[in-house]
Amino acid sequence: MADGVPTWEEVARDHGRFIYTVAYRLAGNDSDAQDLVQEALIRVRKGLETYEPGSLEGWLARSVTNVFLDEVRRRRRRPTEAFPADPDWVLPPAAAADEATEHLSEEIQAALAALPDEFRVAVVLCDVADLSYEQISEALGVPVGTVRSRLHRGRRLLRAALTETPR
Amino acid sequence: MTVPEPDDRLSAYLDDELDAAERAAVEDLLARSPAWRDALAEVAWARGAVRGLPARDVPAGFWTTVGDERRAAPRPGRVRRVLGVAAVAAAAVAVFTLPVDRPEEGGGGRMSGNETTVKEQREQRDRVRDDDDRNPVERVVDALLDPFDW
Repeated sequence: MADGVPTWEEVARDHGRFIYTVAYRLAGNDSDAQDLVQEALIRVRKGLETYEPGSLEGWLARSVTNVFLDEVRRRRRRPTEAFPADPDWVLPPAAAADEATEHLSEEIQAALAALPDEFRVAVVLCDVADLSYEQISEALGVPVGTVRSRLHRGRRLLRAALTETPR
Repeated sequence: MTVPEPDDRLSAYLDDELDAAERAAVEDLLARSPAWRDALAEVAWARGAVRGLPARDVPAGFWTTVGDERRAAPRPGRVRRVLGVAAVAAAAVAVFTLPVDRPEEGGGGRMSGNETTVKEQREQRDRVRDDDDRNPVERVVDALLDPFDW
């Protein structure tokens, strides 16, 4: 690392798991997550020359998110392609709250994947990537108030999906 | 004093994203309203559920694959720049070397047996133009770029 600017290899080695986790939470499956990470790393490689030392993981999370949002826009222009997240998708019966099992993690991930894209992005950037509202606002190009609203609605939808589904 | 419906200040409260005045207002509402306390518990539950999700392990071999593709990938920016310069150079050469119509001067110069007349050159170019109305520069540039399907 020279002058605080990491090499591409350092990014992949030290932050690869973080990038992949953010991508997986956004995409909802390994296949799409891998595509997201691969494309994001290409952009990261180009952007490293202009990277200014700061919150590297925040910058990486924004890169992955931008790739995800580009893909969402591309799919919206081609409506014949199915979205991975069906807004009408209904959760299967949930496990008891005290069963902190892998099954529950999968259900939470599934509920996350079923959120409308703008809510899911806000939730993932805040609760997975740990970005501040200000950072999310900059990443998405929306006011902080919009971030706050999307995040809150996303959390409420998650809660509803995970607890109020008929069992 | 009426209590408003719980709103998105609750998420911001949990995330420590409120200023002092907003925080005080939310804490007052939480102290007075069971509905606000219930809403806070629900949002906190969802927030904790996502934050508690484990980090996702990268599939085995993924970085190797990315590294291989990265090394093998063409560098279109550089290729385009090099070819662009080559195309301009070739076009410039073509401008100065391809046959050009010149006014006939008097009876013309000496002609060897292998040379064609100006009239014959013009007729030949006219036949080519029937099939392809691009100028010579355009044809050279197109020929250079065509293999790369730009």
